[in-house]
Amino acid sequence: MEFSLAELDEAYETLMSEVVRTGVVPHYAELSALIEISPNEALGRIQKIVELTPGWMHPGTDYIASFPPFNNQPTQYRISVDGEQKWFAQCGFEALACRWLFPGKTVRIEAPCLLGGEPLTIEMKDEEILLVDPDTIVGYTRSPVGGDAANRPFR
Amino acid sequence: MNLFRAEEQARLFHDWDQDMEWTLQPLQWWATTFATPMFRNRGRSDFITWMSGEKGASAMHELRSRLSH
Repeated sequence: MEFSLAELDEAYETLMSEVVRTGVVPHYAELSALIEISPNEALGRIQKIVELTPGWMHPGTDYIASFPPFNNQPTQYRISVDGEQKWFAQCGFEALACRWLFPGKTVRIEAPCLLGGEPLTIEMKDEEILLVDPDTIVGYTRSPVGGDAANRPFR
Repeated sequence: MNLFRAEEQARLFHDWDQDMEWTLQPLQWWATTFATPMFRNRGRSDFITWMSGEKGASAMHELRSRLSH
């Protein structure tokens, strides 16, 4: 199935605006109703968008697992906006990009450190980093940013 | 692609790979990386068109340059 860029834009914008609003990326059957296309076409558009972006479907299913910077499957990176926690970030780095979807709002990232579970807390608002606790926080990855497509579900 | 309380915790992580040591960077460095145009523009109504065009290619080049080692 072939899609125009405008058709993919429409689907992408709807998926993104819904996850920003609700914390959940819509299922293809929901996308179908939101933009008034057939379920089959909605699934096709999602599959194409996933090919073009560093997201992924849960292996062997038609469920969107990851739609960066967000994750439908919960991760340890909990995102709160203006005090309300209903989002999960794809990874620690994408957590730092969530702020661009919430202009003018305070985005709080809370996660346990993978060594010992002690908390990490970061607050950002647009260009500003408001809080980093502890102030020694670092990032590290052993896999390429953006990922090898074949391994995305497992990184 | 994880955050750690400090460098010593990252080096003790079970997935630590000395060959990827260069990715061990302060939070500010990763925050700046994830503030490049590819990430800032996801809220656009024409994001896929933008990403597929000249500006998107430029944004991807900027990101790859920053991540080249």
